[in-house]
Amino acid sequence: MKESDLHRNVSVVENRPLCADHYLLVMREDELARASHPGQFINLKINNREELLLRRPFSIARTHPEGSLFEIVYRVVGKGTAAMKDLKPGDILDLMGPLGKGFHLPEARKNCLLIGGGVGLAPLWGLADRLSQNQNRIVALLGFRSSDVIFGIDVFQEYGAEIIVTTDDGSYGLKGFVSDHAEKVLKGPIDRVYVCGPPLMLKAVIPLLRRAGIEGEASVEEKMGCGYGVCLSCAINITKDGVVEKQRVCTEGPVFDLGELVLDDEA
Amino acid sequence: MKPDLSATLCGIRMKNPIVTASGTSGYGQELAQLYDLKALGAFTAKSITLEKRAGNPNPRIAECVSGMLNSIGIQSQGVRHFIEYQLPFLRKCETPVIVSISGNYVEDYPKLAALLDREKGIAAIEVNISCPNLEMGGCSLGSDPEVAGRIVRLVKASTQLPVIAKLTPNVNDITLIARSVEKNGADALTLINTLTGMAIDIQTQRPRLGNVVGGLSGPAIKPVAIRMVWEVYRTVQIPIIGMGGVMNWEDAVEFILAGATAVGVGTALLRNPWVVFEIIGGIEKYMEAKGVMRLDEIRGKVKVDQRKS
Repeated sequence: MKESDLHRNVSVVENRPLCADHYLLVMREDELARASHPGQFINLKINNREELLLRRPFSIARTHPEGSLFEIVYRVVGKGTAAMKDLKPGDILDLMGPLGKGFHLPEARKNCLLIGGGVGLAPLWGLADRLSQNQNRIVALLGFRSSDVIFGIDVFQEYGAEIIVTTDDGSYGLKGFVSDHAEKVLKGPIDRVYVCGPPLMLKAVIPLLRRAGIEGEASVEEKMGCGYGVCLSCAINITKDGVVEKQRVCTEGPVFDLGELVLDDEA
Repeated sequence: MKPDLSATLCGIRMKNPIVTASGTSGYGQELAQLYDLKALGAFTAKSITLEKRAGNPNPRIAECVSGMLNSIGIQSQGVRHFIEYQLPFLRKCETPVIVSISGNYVEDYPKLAALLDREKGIAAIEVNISCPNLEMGGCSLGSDPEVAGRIVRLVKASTQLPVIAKLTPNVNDITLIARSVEKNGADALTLINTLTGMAIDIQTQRPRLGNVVGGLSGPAIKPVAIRMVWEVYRTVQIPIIGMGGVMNWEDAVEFILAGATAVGVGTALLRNPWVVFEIIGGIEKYMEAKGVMRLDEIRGKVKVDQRKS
């Protein structure tokens, strides 16, 4: 790989709020729009803020190769994401990507369950796009904290998904966590499952999926230093052939097989 | 005529003074996917240990203003794995390779050095007696002049390779450690390792690192590093690899003026792995602008009024 393969300057096309604290950032870069795979991520430098030392990693939400566009969804949680709110169309961003390994796609015409929580559902957009192209049936189980932070349901509708929405406080859809409603969904025909959401959601939902004997993958998050494999900040425990070993979320992940993930209470 | 950026450090001939800092570019494979490691003056591998180590719990990194805390805790596959699987790749990189070693106990260091001594393709051994993230060993060994000196003496007796001691800034007087390791045979010094630090998330009221405390690096520590390089440069005869918060060529020139023969780049690689090219190019332009033909014309040449030094 040459520098041009991973180090890119991209231009901002659109930056708009989706709901409270959540924003959609659309950027233009032809190769990234064409070559990235659902589940991969970018590592973004915050412009003109040298004191924010590290890049910020974001899952690629969707790509639109025909327009050389790709999207991320970010939630404002700190100084870096707060600064991103001010990005304007035409601004140039320095990023590395696409990084990491994405989701494995099933053969055509399978029953796929997508479980997303909060900002974590963003990479499932791009996955739903690919799955729908291969005539897969998509069931999307989407969890939010409350009705004021709901976003992106329309995108799953675009891809013909059957959608179940939960909110922790019951202000929209079913009350409770996705894990409270997953078992009902799992009674239907499901061949493969894809999960992306906060650590607590993964911890609650993955044991249910394992018990149901359904194969699949989860995209996990961990604090990163470099995003390209050198610093080992994001190493997590992974079971390979019965042996627990450290793997890097940024390089071997962020998508891991459900069977390989070591949930904290198991360790 | 173009300025000469080459540097020689305890027999290692480097085409420029830029060295990767141990622990910030693994064992070279990831960086080599981005560019040819030949561009570097030298490559320093992540510290290796006698046995496999899992490292510390997550989170292992926390950004601070103009810096970051890390508590990786030397995740390592062990020296035998390094020799079998990682060193062969580094041998082919056509850049001098410095291998960093880390131990729990004093005796681990000579054992590691003896195992590496038999291997081809190693330019020098860097003795990491300054990691702040270990329960045993690490900077607890390197903050005692007597122990630091003893480790270097034992390592020297176990290898023909040049030995570089990497010093911790977490001491009252770094020149005492520098003098002790020089007296015990160190061929060069690397300084500084990270400063011990801590950060707290006020919402959860928990430490931001799984290990509670970690090592601070990045621009925040550069003034401390410059001061220590300057102090040590005036104290010892052996050459110094200066590091600590080098983000650009101006920082690198500052370290050379303070007395560094080579300059380490670490945290900056996490942000921008290609930064080394800007640094090397910037040093060359600076030398041209100042009419400097060789780096030793400016090394340690910070102009300090006599009465203030």
